This record gives sequence, C-alpha cells and structure tokens, in this order.
Amino acid sequence: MKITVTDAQVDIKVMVFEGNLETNTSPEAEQKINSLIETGVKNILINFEKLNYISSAGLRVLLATAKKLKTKQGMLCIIGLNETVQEIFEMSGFIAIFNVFDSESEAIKHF
Amino acid sequence: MIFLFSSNLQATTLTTSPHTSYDLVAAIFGGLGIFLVGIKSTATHLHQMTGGIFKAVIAKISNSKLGIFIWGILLGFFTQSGRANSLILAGFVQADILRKHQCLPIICWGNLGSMLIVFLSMLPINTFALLLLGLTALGLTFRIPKRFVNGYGMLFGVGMIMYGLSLIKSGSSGFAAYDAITPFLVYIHSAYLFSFLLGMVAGLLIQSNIAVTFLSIVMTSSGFFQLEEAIMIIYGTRACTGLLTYLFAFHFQGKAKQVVVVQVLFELFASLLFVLLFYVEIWTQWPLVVAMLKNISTEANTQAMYLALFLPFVGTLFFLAFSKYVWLFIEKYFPPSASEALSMPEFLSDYVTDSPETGLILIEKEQFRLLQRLPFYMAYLREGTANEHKISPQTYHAAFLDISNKITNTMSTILAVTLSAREADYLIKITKTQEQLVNLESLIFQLSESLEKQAKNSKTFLLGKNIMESIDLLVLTAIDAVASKDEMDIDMLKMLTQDRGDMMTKVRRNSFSSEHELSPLERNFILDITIIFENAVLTLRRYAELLNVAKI
Repeated sequence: MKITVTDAQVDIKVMVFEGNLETNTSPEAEQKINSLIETGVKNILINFEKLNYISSAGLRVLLATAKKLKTKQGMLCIIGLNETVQEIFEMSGFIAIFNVFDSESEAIKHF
Repeated sequence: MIFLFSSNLQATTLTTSPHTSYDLVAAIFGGLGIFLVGIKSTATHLHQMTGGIFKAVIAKISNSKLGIFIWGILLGFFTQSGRANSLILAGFVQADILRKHQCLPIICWGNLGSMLIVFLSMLPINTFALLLLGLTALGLTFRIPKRFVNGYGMLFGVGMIMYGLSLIKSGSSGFAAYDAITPFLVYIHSAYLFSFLLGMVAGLLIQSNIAVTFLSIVMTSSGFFQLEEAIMIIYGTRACTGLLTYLFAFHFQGKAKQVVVVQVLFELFASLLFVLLFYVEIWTQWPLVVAMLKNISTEANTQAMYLALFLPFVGTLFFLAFSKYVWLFIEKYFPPSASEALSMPEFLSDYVTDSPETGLILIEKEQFRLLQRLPFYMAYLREGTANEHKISPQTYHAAFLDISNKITNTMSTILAVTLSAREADYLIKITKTQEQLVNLESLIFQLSESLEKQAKNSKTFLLGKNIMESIDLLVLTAIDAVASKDEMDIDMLKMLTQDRGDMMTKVRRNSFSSEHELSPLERNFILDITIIFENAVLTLRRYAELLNVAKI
C-alpha cells in the first residue's frame, strides 16, 4: 500500500491511501499517522479515492486515530469512499461517527 | 479359589487306543475352541455381575493409594483385559469423572489383577472341570435361584477354560512325542525370536494376552514348549496387545487418548524390558529372571505362571515409581488436542463458595477470555490455515460450549450460597452477560459457517466479506470497551451498535431485485447473513449496556 502526505493548509495534513488497508498494511498506516501526530499535527484529512478495500484492522486504525486527535482537540475527516468502502462504513456504523465528505473542499470547510 | 503351588494338570485320556495325529489335532483345536469360549464367557459374566457397580464406585474413588490399589486389582480381575480397563477409564476421563493422573495406578494394578486368573492353571483340572461344568450347567438350565445366573455362567466359563486347557495339553503332549514334530521343536527351543513372534501372532489372532498366557502355560506343562519359549510367547503377546490397544483407541483424542497410551506403554515397556533381561541372561549367563523362576519351582508351567504375574507386578512398580516421567513422555508425544487445550477454563475454581465475590470476578474474567476468542473465527476465514492459530471456528465453538457449561455450573454453585444484595446484583449482571455472550458466539459461529461455504467467485462474496469485517470491528471494539471499562470506549461501542434493521432490509431488497439474477442458494445466503448481522449488532448493543451496570 502506498501512502502520500501533502499539506492542504497550514494546519491540515492530507493523507492519500492507495491500495488495500488490511491486516498486513495497517501497521504501516498506523505508524505513519502516529508520526504525524507526534510532530504536532492535529487535523488530518484522509483521502480514500484510491483505496480499494478496508478491513476491520484498517477500521481500527481510523478509530484509534480519531480518539488520539480528539484528545488533542483535533479532527479527522475522510473523503473519497468508493462503493465497497462506503458499504463497510455503513455496516460497521462508522458512517455515524466519522466526518465523511464528498470532496476535499467540503472537508476542509469543516475543520 | 484354592492356590496350589504344584502342577496338578493331568492330561485327559481321549481314548484307550494310541492317538492318531487327527485325534491330537482335533483335541488341540477342540480344546482351543472350548477354552476361548470359556475365556469369553467368564469375562462376560464377570462383567455382568458387576455391571454399573464399578462405574459408580470408580467415579467416587478417592486419592487414597490403598483404594486405587484395591479397585485397580478388582477392575482388572473382573474385566479380564488391560485394554478394556484402559478404554473404560479413557471414557471416564473424557466425561470428566476421573482425572487422567488417577488412571495410571488403576491401569497398572489392573494389569496385575487381570493376570490373577492364571492361578486356575494350578488347579486339578480333570475331575474339577467336569464337576464344575456339570453343576453349573444344571444351575444355568434350571436357573435356580435366578439371581445366581451370572455366577453360574461365570463358573461354567471357568469350567470350559479348564476343560479346554486339559484337551490342549493332551493334544500337544501327544504331538510333542511325534518324531515328525521333533525337528520343529528343536528349532523353536533355540529360536527365541520365533517364539516372541509366535506370541505376537497368537495375540493378534486371539485378541487376549490372558488366553495366550494360559495356552503357553499349559503347553509348557505338556512338554511341547520349554520355559524359555513360554516366556518369549508371553512377552510377544503382551507387546502385540499393546499395539492393538493403540489401534483400538483411534477414536479417542487428547487426555482420553493419553490414558490409553499409559496401557500401551505399560505393555510395550514390560515386554521389551523383560525381553532385554532375557537376552542379557542368555548371553551373559547372569542369573536374572529365568534363574529366579527356576528357583521358585522345578516345574516349567509353574515357572511360566509366576512369570505371568511377575511381569505386570514389576511393570506396575516401575510405572508408579517413575509416573512423573511417564506423564512427561506422554505429554510430549501425545499432547492434548487443540480443542481440549482450548476447553480448559483458566479462571474458574472449585472453591467459589468460599468467596462468592471472588468467584464472580473470576467468572467475569473467563467471559472476557471467551469474548477475546471471537475475532479468531473471522481471522480463520480471512486467512485460512495460514493464520497463526490454524484452529477452525468449529474447534473454537466446541471449546466455547464446554467452558460456557462450566461457567453456568459455577454460577449455579454460587447461587446456592447466601449472597449479599450487592453480590446478588453482580451475579444477575454476570448471568445476563453470559446470555449475551452465548448468543453472540452462536451468531458469529453461524456466520462463519455460512461464509465458509460461500464460493469466492459468487456474486454475494463481497457482501459476505463486508459483513465479516464489520462484525469483526464491532467485536474488537467490544473487547476494548470491556478491557478498559472506559466510558468513552463504552459510548463508542453503543454508537457503533445502533440498530441495523433498516439497513439490512435495504440490502436484501437491493439484492433480491430482479436485475441481480441471484440463484436461490445465493438468496438464502444473503437472507442468512443479513439476519445474523442484525442480531449480532443487537446483541453487542445489549452487551454494551451491561457494561454500564456498576459492579461491586
């Protein structure tokens, strides 16, 4: 899985995930996210446009990230869910607790 | 039973004329047939006489060494089979009536007990056998009194054993005198390995080392065999019986199999140790077993009889002295099955009534341990046998049911004790949690079964996979909430377990619409997993609500 990090604004990092966020790739994703948080990042926008699939391991990474950012008065937003990932988000209940948007501009307004 | 320490075996006179070889063969075969039926009849009637008594008594057997010694000897005597003993005890261990470590001394003493019947070979066979057959036949025919029927049957069997042995003795002693047989006898007198193999073959055919031991004793008294051949035949049949016992126990697993392995090792060890001692004695001329037997008696059949008793006695002493190492060996090479290890509770205790509060805390820990296993059902499906556990949901499910039963029994034990109001509330909470846990596990197991049957190329595969990941996430979140008992984690779980009824209805409607062209099997699958998912989410919701209930 490939993860690229860019700046949307001064205080918002955009992480683009490409591939599958599953058991094998989740540790790497978690590590990258934690590194960002340790450098003082509080707002993260995750772009799943190029993500094919997410498993429970990937979902747990998102959950842990949301909890960490909340303790730092930060926020996590997600965009670009494909049909499959959208279905998983709905079934798992994530759609109710995460900030999910259709576009980057919408998400940035929310921060 | 009268123990006579000299040979009184008398050959039965068949006819007054010289015997033809056909007469001798007929005597041996006829005698063998009567003897084997006698062995079977004796064992059957002995068993029927004791019936369920042994099971009832042995279930209550204490850790008293004397109690185990007495019951071991009696069990062996009445079953007349070390193999049968071990299989009976394996069943008790499987049913949790006995602990496996209690079985080793019972098996060992049982082997000695089963051999006590060889003292029959010392009785005056002819007249005694015929009288016994006559009297007991009358008892069996007229069944007076009726309650002694099994006793008559047993004694009739003893009579057949003795009469059969006398016929075999007369036939084999007649053969021993034949010139044509002499080269064969000369060969076997020095080919001890042949005698060992003969014992193994006889054990395989007759399926009873007691019967083969009897035969070797009586053929020694007839002069057909010498002491050394009889010894090797006894060793050979014991080794064969050990191997057969292992084969007979193929359906046992785990600790039940370990109990049977004790019998197998006993037979193999005893026979091979004595074979080794035999050859050491032959090669070095050191006075060992054979010399000791020749010192006890001058008659070969008496010597063989004492060997038949000495062998299990020495085996028993060794196994009892080194039982710790025996078990270490068994644990290493015949470890408990995966399902058995999984079925062992970690926290439940027999002493919960001493402290109900502690008992309830331990039950809660055990429940959490079971909850933590649920993600492994999904992991197995996701990764197949490549996962580190390589344990199927079926195995986990069986283990869950075992431990769940034990939890329920422990809760019942606590309920019987006088509890404070707080302890009673806690017990109620634990009971409700247990209900939800059992329900949840059942749903996840059903889901795993449905998903396992699904073909990877089916149209419904992705839906199944998504539901699996979703339920896995929810269970993992529940585990976090139970572990931390943090309000935030519990609230998170509640938020994630909102009702999915409408959502699943939409999924079903979508899937069943004509454009998807699903087969009936696929439709059934969708119906199953969506209903299971709905109910699982509901159960997790209830579980989350119970987490908020304050414990003591």
